[in-house]
Amino acid sequence: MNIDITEPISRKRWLNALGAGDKDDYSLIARLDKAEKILFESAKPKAVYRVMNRKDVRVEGFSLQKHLEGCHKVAVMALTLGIGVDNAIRKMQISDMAEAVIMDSGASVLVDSLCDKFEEYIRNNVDEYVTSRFSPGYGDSPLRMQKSVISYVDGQRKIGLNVTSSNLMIPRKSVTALIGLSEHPVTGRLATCGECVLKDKCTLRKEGKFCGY
Amino acid sequence: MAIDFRDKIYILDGAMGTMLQKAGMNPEETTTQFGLKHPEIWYDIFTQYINAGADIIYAGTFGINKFKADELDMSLEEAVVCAMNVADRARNEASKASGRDVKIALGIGPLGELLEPMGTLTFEEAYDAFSQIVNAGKNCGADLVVIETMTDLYEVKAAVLAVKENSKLPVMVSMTFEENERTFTGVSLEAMALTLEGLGVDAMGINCSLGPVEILPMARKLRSLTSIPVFAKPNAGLPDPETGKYDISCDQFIDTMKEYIDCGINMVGGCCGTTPEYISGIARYRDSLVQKPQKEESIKHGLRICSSTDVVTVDHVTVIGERINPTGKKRLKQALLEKDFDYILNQAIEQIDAGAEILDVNVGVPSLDDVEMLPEVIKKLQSVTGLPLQIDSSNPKAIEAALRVYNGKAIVNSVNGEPEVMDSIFPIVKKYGAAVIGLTLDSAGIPDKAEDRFAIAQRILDKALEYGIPREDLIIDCLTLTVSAQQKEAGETLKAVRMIKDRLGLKTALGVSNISFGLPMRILVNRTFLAMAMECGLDLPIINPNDEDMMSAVFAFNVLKNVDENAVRYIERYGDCQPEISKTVKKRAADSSDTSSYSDSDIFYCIEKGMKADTVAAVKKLLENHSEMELVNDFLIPALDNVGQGFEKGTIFLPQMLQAATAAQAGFDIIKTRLAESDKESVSLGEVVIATVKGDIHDIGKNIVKVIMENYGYKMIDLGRDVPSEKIVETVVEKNIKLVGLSALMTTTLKSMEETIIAVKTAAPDCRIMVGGAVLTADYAEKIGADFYCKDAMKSVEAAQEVFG
Repeated sequence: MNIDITEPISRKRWLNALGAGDKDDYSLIARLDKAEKILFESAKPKAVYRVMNRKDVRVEGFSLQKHLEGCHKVAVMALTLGIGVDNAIRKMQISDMAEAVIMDSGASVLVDSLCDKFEEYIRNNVDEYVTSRFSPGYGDSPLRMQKSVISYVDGQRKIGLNVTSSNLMIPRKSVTALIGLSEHPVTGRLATCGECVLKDKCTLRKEGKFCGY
Repeated sequence: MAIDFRDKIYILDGAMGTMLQKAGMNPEETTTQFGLKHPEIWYDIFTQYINAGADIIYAGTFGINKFKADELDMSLEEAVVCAMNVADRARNEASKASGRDVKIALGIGPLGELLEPMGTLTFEEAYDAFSQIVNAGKNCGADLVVIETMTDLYEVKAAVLAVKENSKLPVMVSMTFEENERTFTGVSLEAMALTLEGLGVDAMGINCSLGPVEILPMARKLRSLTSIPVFAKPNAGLPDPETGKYDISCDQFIDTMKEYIDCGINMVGGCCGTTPEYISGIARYRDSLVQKPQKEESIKHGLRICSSTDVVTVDHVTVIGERINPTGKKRLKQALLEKDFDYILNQAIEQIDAGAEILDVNVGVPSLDDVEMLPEVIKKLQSVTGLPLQIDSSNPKAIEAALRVYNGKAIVNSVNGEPEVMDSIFPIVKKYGAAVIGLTLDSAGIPDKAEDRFAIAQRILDKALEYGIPREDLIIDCLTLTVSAQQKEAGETLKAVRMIKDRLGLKTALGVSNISFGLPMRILVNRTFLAMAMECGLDLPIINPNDEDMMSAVFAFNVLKNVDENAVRYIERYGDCQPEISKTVKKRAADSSDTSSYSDSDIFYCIEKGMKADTVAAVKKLLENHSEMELVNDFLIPALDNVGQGFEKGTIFLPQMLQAATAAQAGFDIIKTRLAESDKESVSLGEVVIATVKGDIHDIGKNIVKVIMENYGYKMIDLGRDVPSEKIVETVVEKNIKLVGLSALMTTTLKSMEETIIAVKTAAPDCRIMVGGAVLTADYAEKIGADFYCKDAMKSVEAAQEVFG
């Protein structure tokens, strides 16, 4: 299904993603406006989900297993901004690298906020209690799950979402995730740093922070 | 083996996947795996479809290709043969029983790996992968090949060429469209129709994604866009996102499909969700028809050119941008020799922004192999623009290499009246379905008289038609001569244009700016000549679109000729503009004021604030009193250092730093152009190879490093993303490189980074390696043998300074 963009990209999250903090820089703000305009013109967000039995879903990694504990079903979701955004960012890199970087991070913030919206939509369409979303590659779940997750929702045909032989998604600004469904209230569980593949390399962790909310 | 698909109404088969699911396929299995494991189920489904009335069945080879080979427990060739044999057996048995002639199609689907520029698969690799399937399946009873469910026109082109060059089988192509009448990759119906008809496919159509109701208007449109047979295989309606069930009944499906047949779409079947019941319903309707429905007339569209996304219909004066041509442009020549593609692409983007609708591409530098270079530049250009391209070369090999990798319908510039030239180039133009420019000259040179040029044009037209090139795809260039040398001939050129237009009805092109060579204020002559030529019927001026004096003449002309209706395009462009009276005088005045206003401006300030135009002006001013090297060492680099220090301290952020770098880059470019024009050595503090490692496709970080380092005067050899270690080693050894930058953004590709480091160190022990990327740490970089860990772009400059001193 097509997903409408109904809100501007959060400037706070965007500036954060750029590492620009809360600095007031008028020329930067103007550049965000320009980037947003191009992103909105080039994005054709589409999403798809499918509710499957827990046992039919191949789950890899300890942290995802814990996340889905107590769930008898799983909603598999995939969302993409579409290839137009990749093309627009590629083109901008030729003429204006600064603008391209701004677009790139803006697109990441946008895809994330659309996922929030789509997650909400799924939540409203299922009868069960749901966990938060958990994406392949997070915690100790291997990125190779991407391939089967995309095939569960027929992502290539339904929303034009492809996966490369090294398990990266094209269009680049895309997200897949699993949401656990249960008869009883569940919260899911974020991966711990101990489980995470990035544990030795994570910059957040070095700063004493945690990627969870 | 040719099949005339026009001869009757063909019923195609229905869904395979849907039927296999009903037969018990589980969610973890692909249709290929399940079918190969249960050939009797495949056989049964084919038999059902044939008995339902299908005239053509698609063998179960759709999901077989080398990129999905790990799904198979046999060789790819064996799998294809096995799938074909089942279909062949079902056809033979069923035909024997019914006496009907049923055809088998070797089915080809998307490879599952995306082609460049979206993905990393090259056009040539895709071609090879498709050829493998064609060669495996062509002798197993296939009557034709069907390429279906495609979304990328480029991938389709690779597949069509693979079929045509490896077999004599007819080929049908269908693509999958969304409600906005575009595929996921942005291909329009019109671009598909133009490109595929040009490539000589036997039928084209639409399948999957939507139901018959949604596809019908698109199928009608496609019917009107092409003269070859059109087919459709819609899904059984739109699926419910929650249950996956389709929203229309079998009867509704059949009723809607009748409309397809009635409007001349003479090949129909079904895709996902359809069953033999659906197909037999359509077949019954076909059988009930007393006479074949009349095909809706396909409209003559005149000359149309396209990329995969944009179609240009030449029904107005259409500007061809001439800037990508190194003749007389030393900076471009240098860029071509150094493979500085960013410079070339910038030339393209400037012309697009200025309003060019087609770009001419010429890479004619004597020491350069254009058979290799022309396709490379075409590939790069189509990665950043959807503007159709004009391939400008006289070398048939280079033209063919370029047409082959061009995604859409191009113009070839050019042939002339020489029979050998036409005989070598027209077959290529025909094979790839391009349009072509014919120059009115031959071995005797350019005739003085219009009548003689017309005669050559007539000869070119006759020959083109002989080769099967449609009349509307031939463009004649009557050739502009220099008025200061041959004053009488300017009138002859114009007269010839009018004759071609009136008597042959062909489109015309002219390179305009030659006219004024050797005269002062060339623009006055150019613009006047352009206006005169347009009035005589010039359709495609080949000009510099950055020259607003020329562009304004075109826009005004399109209004005056009632082509730009309600002056929409004119007002869009000039609505906010003020008239400039007596511009020549004013320009001089402006020049002097420029000088004074920029003499005080501080280049350090301009760069820090990312003011591109002001930086350029400041550089030009400084060059009056400083050498190029002084400017680089005493101004540009120190200015960037200031910005870099701010970045380190955290007072300047990445976007601002890049903005500053972009401004500095514009300044550098002035210097590079000056050096190229005076034939001096270009500025280079050292050559650095940079790449994103194999398996990784993140490249924005790598590109940031490239931009920053270029500004510090390093010559960057950018090998791109997903680069195998062999290619890096090869470049390092060949060019004796002392510093390599590697980028990896994922834990899974760090392994590939480590392997690359080992390979480079083994082949070139004194080459140093710097690495960067989000998942790296200093410790890890050291562990895998890197010499420098660069946490950001400034650190890579420091590494280079250490290496090169």
